[in-house]
Amino acid sequence: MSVTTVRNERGIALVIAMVALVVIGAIVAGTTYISLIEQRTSTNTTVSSQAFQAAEAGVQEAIVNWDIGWNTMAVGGQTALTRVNTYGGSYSDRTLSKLNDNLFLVVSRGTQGNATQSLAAVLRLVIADLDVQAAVTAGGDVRIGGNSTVQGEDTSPLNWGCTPGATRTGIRSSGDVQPSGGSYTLSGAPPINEFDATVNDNLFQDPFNELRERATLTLHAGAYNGMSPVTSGTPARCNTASSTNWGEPWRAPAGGRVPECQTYAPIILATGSIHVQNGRGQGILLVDGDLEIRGNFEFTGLVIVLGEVRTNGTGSKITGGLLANQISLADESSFLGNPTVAFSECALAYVLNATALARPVRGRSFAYSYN
Amino acid sequence: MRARNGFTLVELLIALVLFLIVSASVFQLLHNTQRVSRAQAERTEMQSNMRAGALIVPAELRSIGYDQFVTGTGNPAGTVMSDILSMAADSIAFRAVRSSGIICNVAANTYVLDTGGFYTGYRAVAAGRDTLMVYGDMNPNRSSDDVWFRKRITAVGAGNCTAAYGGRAGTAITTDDAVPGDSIIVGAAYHSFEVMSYKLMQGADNRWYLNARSMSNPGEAYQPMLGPLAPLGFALKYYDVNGAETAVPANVRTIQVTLISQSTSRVSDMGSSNQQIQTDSVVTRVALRNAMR
Repeated sequence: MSVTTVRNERGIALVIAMVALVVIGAIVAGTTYISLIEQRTSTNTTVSSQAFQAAEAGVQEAIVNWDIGWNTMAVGGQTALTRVNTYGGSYSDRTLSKLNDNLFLVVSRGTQGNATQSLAAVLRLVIADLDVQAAVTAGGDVRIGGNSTVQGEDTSPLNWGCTPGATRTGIRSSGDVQPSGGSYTLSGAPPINEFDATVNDNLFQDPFNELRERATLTLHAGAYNGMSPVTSGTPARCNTASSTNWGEPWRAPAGGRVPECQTYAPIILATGSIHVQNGRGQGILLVDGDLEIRGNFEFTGLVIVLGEVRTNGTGSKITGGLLANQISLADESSFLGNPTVAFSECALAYVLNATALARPVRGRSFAYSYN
Repeated sequence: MRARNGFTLVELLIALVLFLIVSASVFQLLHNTQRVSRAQAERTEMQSNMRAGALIVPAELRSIGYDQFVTGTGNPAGTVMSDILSMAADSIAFRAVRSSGIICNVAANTYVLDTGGFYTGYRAVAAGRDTLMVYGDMNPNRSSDDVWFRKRITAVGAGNCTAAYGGRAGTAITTDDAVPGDSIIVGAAYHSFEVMSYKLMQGADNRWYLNARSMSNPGEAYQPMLGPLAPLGFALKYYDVNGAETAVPANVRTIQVTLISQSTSRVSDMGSSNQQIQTDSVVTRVALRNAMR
């Protein structure tokens, strides 16, 4: 029996196989590398797009949930807004700057993973477009008597330091203005503008409807006595939850004022007829009914009454503008007792500004931020 | 005679044939893999080209704005002016924003840009090339009369902000086109822009490229920025507020950008030996963020 032994193992199959493996391996590695890079690029595109959307959400959130407290920020001032968390772990950090009396800048930096995108938007306070031309603007007839004072001269509220502008009309009315005895004072340029056909329902209803949507304090029909600014918490903050806190119209150096509430100017909506007596406040008072001012009540800003206004008692003062629309001919606004209604451009501008909402400016509000 | 170990001719021929068959299949495998790899690389390049286009073009178009009621030099009241100056299916010329920020000091026709505060842009303001768009508040109690004024920049220098802006150093811009009572005050927003033209053009190699040119830069020629593209590889469609196509620049609210990219050379299709130019496309719709609402 013979055993055949192969002693001479020559061949190139193994070499060929190995070379082929190396070459194929290199090609596969290359392709895998390209795919990997591609996949990373796609991921980057996705996260940067998510970061962009987060930044966008940040800008929109600031507009939608505008805090009227920001309106009274100092020009040049900057504040960080709370972080907005959006879907999928992305979020945006915002800063709000006040550029001038009307303009704000919100810069929103959206982050998702390692990607960030910044967006900026220039916002403008949209102030109710209201042309108050007189201390008292009334639909229908107005009765004035007692020791009441209605003045169309532009008046700065006490200690507000405003420069008075042009003198306006004292009483502007679509009906007539009837003296009702007493020694009242009526001034302005002119003091009386009767039977003014441009005073129509829309003049009262349009701003009323616009502002009621933004009311920050809603009151039911009834009597409200002793309005006064109050604080709560430590450190003290203006307590805006109180229904008799209508802000602080007093400015330094007046004693007894509550400085925390000086920048609080609420839009107060009364859903029915109200009586007010004693105390003070600032802002915009909207009354869907009649307003009776019974004395010792001081208000700085704008008052719009869809019904009639009656005053009696002593010591009441409205600085700004008063608009009253009679709802029927049986009603008429009357100023008796010794109230003072004084026109104030400065007070109107302040409260309209303080209660305004921000919207992107017309055209070109938006900017990419490359920072 | 000793018997010699060896192979017969037939054996050798069989071995040779077998070897050739094996080599051919190995070569085929290598060739295929290499072809697929090259095709893959070409596709990757094509797609990244397209992706760059899909990022750059919409980013530029997104800032297109509008204006209304601009009064003053050359701008009659009540005219609706679009930042789109001309538009067609394969080209667009528009005011492209180059920097944005806040004006922190005003003196006659000189404005200080608050470059130390909020400022953003990808190049600094260039005199003679850029134009400033500045926000004018007009009646401060009314937002419906606000306007943007366009002012050509004649000189760029140094200047300081007002005290409310910390008195910091900024960039002073001298402009012409004075508009008395333009109500431009400290805190106004501005954008600087140049007019850019994007156009689909054929290059020296007879392939199609998206070309760009700054029309505000005298003597600048079109430069290819993206390609090669298909013959109709850059297509724009303009839509109005109702989503209908429009040919009126002032009515445009969204722009649809279609990019059809081509591979630079002929490569094989996946799973076939057919060599040809590959194409891929992307369609994006850009809402003009600064359009009137």
